[in-house]
Amino acid sequence: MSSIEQAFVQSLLEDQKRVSGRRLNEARKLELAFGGSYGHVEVKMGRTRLVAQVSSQVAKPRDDRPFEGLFLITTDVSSMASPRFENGRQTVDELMVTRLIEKAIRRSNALDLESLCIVAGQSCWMVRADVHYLEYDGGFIDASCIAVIAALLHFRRPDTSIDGSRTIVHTLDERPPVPLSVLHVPICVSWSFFDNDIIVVDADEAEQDLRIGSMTITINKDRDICQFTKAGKIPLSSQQIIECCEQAHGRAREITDLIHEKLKQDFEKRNRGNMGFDLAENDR
Amino acid sequence: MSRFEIYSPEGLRADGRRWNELRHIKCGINTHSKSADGSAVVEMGASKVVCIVQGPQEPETRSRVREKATLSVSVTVAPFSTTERSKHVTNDRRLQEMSANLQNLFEEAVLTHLHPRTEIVCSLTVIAQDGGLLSCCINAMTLALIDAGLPMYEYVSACSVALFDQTPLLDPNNVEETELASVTVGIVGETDKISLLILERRLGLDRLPPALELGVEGCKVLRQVMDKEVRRHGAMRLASRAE
Amino acid sequence: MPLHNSDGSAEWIAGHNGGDTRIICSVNGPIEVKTRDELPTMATLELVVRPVVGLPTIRETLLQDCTYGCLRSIVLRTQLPRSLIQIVVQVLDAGEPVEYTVYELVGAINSSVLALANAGIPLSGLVVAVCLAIVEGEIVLNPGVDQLKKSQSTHAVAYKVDNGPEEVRFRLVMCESTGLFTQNELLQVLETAEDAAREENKKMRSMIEQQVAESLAFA
Repeated sequence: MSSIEQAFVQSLLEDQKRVSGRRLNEARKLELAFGGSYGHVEVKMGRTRLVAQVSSQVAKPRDDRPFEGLFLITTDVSSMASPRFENGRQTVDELMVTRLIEKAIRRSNALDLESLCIVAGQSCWMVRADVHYLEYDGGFIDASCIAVIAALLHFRRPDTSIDGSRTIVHTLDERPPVPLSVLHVPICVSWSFFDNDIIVVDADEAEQDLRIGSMTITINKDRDICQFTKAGKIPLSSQQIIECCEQAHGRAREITDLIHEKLKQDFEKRNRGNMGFDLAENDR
Repeated sequence: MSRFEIYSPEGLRADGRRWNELRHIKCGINTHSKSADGSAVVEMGASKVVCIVQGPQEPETRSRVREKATLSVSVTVAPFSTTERSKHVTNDRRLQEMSANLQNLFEEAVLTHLHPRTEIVCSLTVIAQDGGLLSCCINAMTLALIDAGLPMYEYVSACSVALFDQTPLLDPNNVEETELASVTVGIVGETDKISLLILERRLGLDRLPPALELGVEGCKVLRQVMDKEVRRHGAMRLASRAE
Repeated sequence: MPLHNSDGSAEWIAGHNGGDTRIICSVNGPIEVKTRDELPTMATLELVVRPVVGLPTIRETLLQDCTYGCLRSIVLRTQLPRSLIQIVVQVLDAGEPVEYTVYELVGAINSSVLALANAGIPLSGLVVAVCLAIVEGEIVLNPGVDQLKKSQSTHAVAYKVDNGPEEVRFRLVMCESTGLFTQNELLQVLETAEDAAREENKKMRSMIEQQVAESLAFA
């Protein structure tokens, strides 16, 4: 970013304004679209655009956790998103995205791993979520988290039954597929810090280049903080921190409702196509 | 793991502490005087971290030549630091994340603009782990940077707080940390404003304020302990120069 | 929808019976090249094919290699020495079982050619790929998933389209066949493929023409 652009963005921020015309505590509008197959979600936030795909396969559980399934999230950024990213090399910022998504969704137990067990110690489902970044305009953490959790909610895995010692995986025509057991919906909200104690929510590309530090809160509708990361830069009083959490909670409620609304619409559309096919769907 | 009592109804924890008690803190400054520009060892209970600081010196790569000094932090965990001897993993994501967090935090406290086009290399080695790993690293790094004579605004101190139901427990050990959700709080100087806040487990929002309050108090005590050690060492140095 | 951060992009969607193949491709270039990859007389061509599920495996390396071979024959690399052309092919929906690669291969080639044209990279012509299968002795163009599973062999065929007299305009650049088939059958496949490629070429050409017309500032 050129110095004159930096100065422009900074001077606007000091007047409580942003290049995009948003208020300092206003996040971008979220667009969410489900694809043709189960577990395919496209998320757009401003010009940031990414696709999450959830898939499953039968695998062997880990020896030390025989009653749990496996869950993997891959978030690799290629140069498709922006020429600033190098193919096949992870920078520290990309690493932080990976770690935060991991902590927000996997370590907060958003997916019930025990429900993925088929035969203890023998076989279980391996669920993986792959995030593909198509366009970069800041806010990868917030957008990826929404995409992954929406894809998990949208995904349906094949039903299984056990016949003696054999595990039978039923095709989608034989038995209606089963939704994953998602225990809660964590939503990430990121703040960016600028010089002169300016704090901004959901920064775009230019703002993210200029910022001196950041803070990410992951929270769900039930007011559980799943993850909180703030390292240095602007010191905040605990009052301010709680305020930020409340704001994040408000946004989490909005987004969770939006995801459920979109899910409902999508399954209504699907059910119209083939009557009674999706009986296994429950209204969460 | 068996269900023993983390916090008894009488208000005692498994290791005999009360809810607001820190573990025994032992810190040493200038512990590796021959091998580095600055060094420190911090022990918080059974956790022990050594920090070595080199610099400001010429940067190793050109990308680290900037308007301000670059802080490069690396964290190594000794394989014997836990009860279960772990295989040595290079490029552990968790440690890389921790280094990035340390770097971001200390950029706030160190006056990096006074040493442009230089690099400050901080190497942390975890000798023993018994909870509060990140806070132990932060405290060790503060002392080592002071020992290296780098200009800093204030002490950076950190400690963690676990939550047992509604009761916050200060400076949890490994057992408490695996059983309960905990937050690590870090402050710069003697303020109530929080610079670092890391939470990795699920925790109700309404349980956060008491934990933050207790964490900040713990940090202030740690700052005093560190200040005492720095003054003791400084007095010793002055005395030896006077001779 | 175009990708804003890339110099050129294209999306290739093939709906067939039982699946939808959706592939998106971005091209950045000519951009600065790392010293260790720099070629003094021509541009470095970097191609990455990324699967929809998981990390790239040997299967993606194969797709990458075949696509690279096709693109190398049309990109005028000597016109852009000491630079980098970066192509990323992202599969968004494979539309075929993992055992098969035809649709993804064809999609990777067609989308990257369109994206290269969109990025304004100098090309000597177009490469057009089509996929076929032999099912119960019959040659099927754009087979559905059921047909793929029943097929004896699958073929991804790419032709290079040059400007020039009719007899040299379509030349074979790639024929990737898997399965059992006779020499005769292969010749028949190539014949069918050439006709299909002519059709596909018309579509791709008009698409590029339309896009160029839209992007002209004085239009």
